[in-house]
Amino acid sequence: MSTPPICGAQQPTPIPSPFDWTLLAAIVTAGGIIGGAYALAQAFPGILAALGVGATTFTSAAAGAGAIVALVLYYALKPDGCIRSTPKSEPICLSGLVEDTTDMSSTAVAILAPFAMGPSGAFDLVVKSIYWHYVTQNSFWVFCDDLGAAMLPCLIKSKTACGAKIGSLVGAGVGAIAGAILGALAAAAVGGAIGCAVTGPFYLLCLLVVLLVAAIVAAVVAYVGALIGGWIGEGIASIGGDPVGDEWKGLSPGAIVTVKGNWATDPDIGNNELFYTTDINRTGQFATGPSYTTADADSTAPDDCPLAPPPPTQ
Amino acid sequence: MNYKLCVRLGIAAGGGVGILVGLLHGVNCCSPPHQPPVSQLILAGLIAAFIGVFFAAAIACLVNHLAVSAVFTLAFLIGIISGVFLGPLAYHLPHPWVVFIVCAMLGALLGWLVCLIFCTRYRSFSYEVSR
Repeated sequence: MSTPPICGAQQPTPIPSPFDWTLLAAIVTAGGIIGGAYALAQAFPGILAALGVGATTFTSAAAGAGAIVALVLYYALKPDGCIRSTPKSEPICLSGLVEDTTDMSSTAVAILAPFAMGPSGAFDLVVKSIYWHYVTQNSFWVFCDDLGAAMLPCLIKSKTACGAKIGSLVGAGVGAIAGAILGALAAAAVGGAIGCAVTGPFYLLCLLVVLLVAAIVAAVVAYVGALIGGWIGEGIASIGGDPVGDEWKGLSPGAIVTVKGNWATDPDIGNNELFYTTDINRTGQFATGPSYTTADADSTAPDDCPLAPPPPTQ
Repeated sequence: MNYKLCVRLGIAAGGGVGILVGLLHGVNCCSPPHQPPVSQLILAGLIAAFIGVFFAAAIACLVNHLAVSAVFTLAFLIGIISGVFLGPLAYHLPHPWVVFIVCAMLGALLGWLVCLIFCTRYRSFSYEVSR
């Protein structure tokens, strides 16, 4: 391939946005929890009455807990190779120079929202010219460095994210059950304490406060359950080795690498990328830079990828 | 412009209004039941919408490292519109899960409309939210 890639937008049409089934699944799950709780409350009013809890407050508590389950489920069902597989593409091998590395891990997210953990990091690879088609083919955007060389972002899977997501999902489920009961009891206590006057102008708001107490208490308990489950999952997942992650931590600008991974297109920006990188083989260090040109990448030693890539087919 | 954030904030606002105001309908205190004025339903809708949408905005900012002021401004706008329009509607729909689903969908639509109007008119705001 002799024509260098054009940096930036590749196609006049915007990147197509596929329907978000994950979001719909989360909404339907929350709706199902609410409907189930309502049906349960209607079917067994005696049990709730014995606890001093009304069907409405119990449903409100279930809704608060259901919202947290839906939130955790939404992140857990993202196609990141944990519960759902990564976007279908093909395994590729290519080589070039590392332009920069980015640490994408966040302590705040790991502590406060472990179910939403993403990749641990990424590095931009200035690819050899024989691999340009991996950057351009069917892409909507091409990243280039300051010298105009085409780059392929390579994402590194977090070792603990998957464990955190599964742990959060389990924790949220357990917390939701406990939260629905505790929320309804708390609302009953608050309702009894404030005693909404049925004829007053603020009757509706008084009822809303009671329902809010039920929902918020249940949501807090479910969220705490998700946090604890996520932390436990993180701890379990951190046991053992992480060769790709360890290799990535040792990378610096100018590293000459041969990488393998799943070739995919970013759904938001539309650039091609490795999602995720499955192997990093560091073969040397470039003397100057950053930044680097494609000629710099081409000047490095031949890589050990099995076959020379075919020319692009459009 | 990517409308995903607006749609998700709209779902949070609409879902919150739907379930909380919808459940108020199920509480029959009196015979015959009182018909609350629209103003009270709007106020209840606003409270429920703000709780849902600000929680969603906080999670979005935490996870995606978005500009806090821009996202919360957007959440405020979507919360107002969802509360005003969906509060009275939610009270009159039957069954909590139906109200939740319908209001979440309508909230998504309202969120999308807010982005369509607001973010295309104010380019700098659009950049802040989508970057």
